[in-house]
Amino acid sequence: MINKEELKLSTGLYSQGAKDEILDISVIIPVVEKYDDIENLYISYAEEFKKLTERFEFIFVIDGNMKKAYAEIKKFSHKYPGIRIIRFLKPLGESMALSAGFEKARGKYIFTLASYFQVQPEEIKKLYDSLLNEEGDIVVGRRIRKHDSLFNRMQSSLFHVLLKLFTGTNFKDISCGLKAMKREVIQSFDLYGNLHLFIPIIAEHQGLNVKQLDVQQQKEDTKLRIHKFREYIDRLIDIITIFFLVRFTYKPLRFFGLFGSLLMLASLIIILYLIYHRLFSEAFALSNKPSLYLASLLMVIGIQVFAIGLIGEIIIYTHGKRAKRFNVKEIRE
Amino acid sequence: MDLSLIVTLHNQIRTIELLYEKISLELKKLSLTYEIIFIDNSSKDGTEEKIKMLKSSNPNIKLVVLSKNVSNIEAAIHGLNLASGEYIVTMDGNMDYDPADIIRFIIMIQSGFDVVCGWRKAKKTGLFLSSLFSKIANAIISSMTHIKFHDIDCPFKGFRNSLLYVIRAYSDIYRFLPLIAASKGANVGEVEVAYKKKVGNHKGFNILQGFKLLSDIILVKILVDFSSRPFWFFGLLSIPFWIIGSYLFGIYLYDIFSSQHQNSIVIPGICILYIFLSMSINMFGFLSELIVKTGDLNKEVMHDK
Repeated sequence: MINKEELKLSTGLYSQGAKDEILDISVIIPVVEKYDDIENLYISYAEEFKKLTERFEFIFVIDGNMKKAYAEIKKFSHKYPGIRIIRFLKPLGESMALSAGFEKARGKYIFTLASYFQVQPEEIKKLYDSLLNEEGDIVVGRRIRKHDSLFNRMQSSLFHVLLKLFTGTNFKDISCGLKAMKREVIQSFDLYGNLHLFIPIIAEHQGLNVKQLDVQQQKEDTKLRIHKFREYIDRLIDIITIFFLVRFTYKPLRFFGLFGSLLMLASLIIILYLIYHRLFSEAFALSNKPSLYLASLLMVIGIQVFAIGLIGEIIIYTHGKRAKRFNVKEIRE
Repeated sequence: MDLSLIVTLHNQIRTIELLYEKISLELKKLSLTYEIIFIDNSSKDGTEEKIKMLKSSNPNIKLVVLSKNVSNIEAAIHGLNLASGEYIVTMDGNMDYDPADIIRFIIMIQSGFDVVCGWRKAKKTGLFLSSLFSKIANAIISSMTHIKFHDIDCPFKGFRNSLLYVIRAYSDIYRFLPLIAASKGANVGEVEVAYKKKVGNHKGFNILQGFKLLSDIILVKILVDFSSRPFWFFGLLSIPFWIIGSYLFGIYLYDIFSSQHQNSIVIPGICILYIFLSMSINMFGFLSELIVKTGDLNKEVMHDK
């Protein structure tokens, strides 16, 4: 995890716009990997935001390796008001990009968008209305994949089936870039690694009210997407990460202790079986029984798992005061 | 301020006013300065609005609204952060408890106890198995404290505020606050409280709860004992495996030099496994020693009374 100082060093190299003014909407666009004609993207979305409010800003957060995108955005940023740019000096990934954007955002409401054509711009109004009506603290888009290519749909539904299996979540389109949230909630996420993918799940875990809204997909997004093999592996590992994070961060020994005890139990059963035969069967030598080896191995793994759970528990116990919990909705003194 | 009363509420819109009247009646008798911290544990029936109404008539009321329904215990923790009274009493806002008992806690604290735990004497314990669990749990509890707690789970608890800073309350640990406090040298006590759960609703103390209580108490016991000297704890854990490992190594050596050489892989294999295990357990001990040293645990010392 990258600490805040490092983030400060590498962000804010270039930013423009009035300071400390409270706006209605901040739109954060992380430009991390793939991007389309970003000027047209800006124009089409900005038009829709103009219909909602006059006072909005766009924050482009550009990762360190996106030099071309930086040049493009810088070129058109002078033509329009309310564009701010944050550029990283080195590639830090989308989670850090979002964190940096959150930190600089001045709007009462914060939208995040993908840096390519993904969702129809008209749909923004839907999310904004939902936020204004207090329907949720966070509103996430869910693309209706009517026109999406078959392969895209398949890989997405496979991902979400796995996700549901591990975390029990009901979100059907977690990778949709369009999300809208109240300003107060952004401090409840500590995003790093690939956690930006799971913002709705983390938010729900923190006790926030998350709403899912159907949105229309843009035509450009329906093109066939085949990722690198490496990325599929990454997603799998991400799912396991969020599984542990959501389920066991505050009670590591519950999981590891149970798992370790089961292993030890299995080992004990084998050992008892062997002892029984050693005592009551004739010519039963332990030295040529591989099952003794298996029993010992299970015992070793069981105790190790248990000990790891204990260490996890001790970390939470000694550092627990610093762990963030945001279940509080309101305090009146 | 003398007293902070923390009351957790969940869907109590019908009874909250009655409860408030009872509480304020009792508090008036005490002639103490007080505050009431209501924790709305994510009620869906508008308890929140009702409390806000009460708040407008009484400035001593504070309100915390939770966005997610959590256990009673966790809900109370959110009130602890706000409490500024010298004595803190936590209670459940359902009508099973009698606010007239608040004074008992205050008297206990005034007479020198740091933590006072309620005891619902009227609550029945359930089946044999669950009472077995609770018996084991109680045995562990009394090994940790000098007095026997009958009802560690009781949400009616009172304690001295200056103690708060010594205790770290996270998630379920709060229910064992008297135990942790006792392990740090606090003076803990118990007081009987009235409890009137409707007979028809009474579920007793089921096996699952008993098991959970037992496993939680073991966890607390381990945490309390072990967080002060983790290297020692893991060292103790590794001793049996060192013994098994060296014993097997002895057998292996004996086997090599004996006349009927068996040439078996099983014995040296297991020997290596157990020695590996005990070494890694010792490493874990070292690791957790580091973790404890870098944490803020060693700053915890009891306050002067």
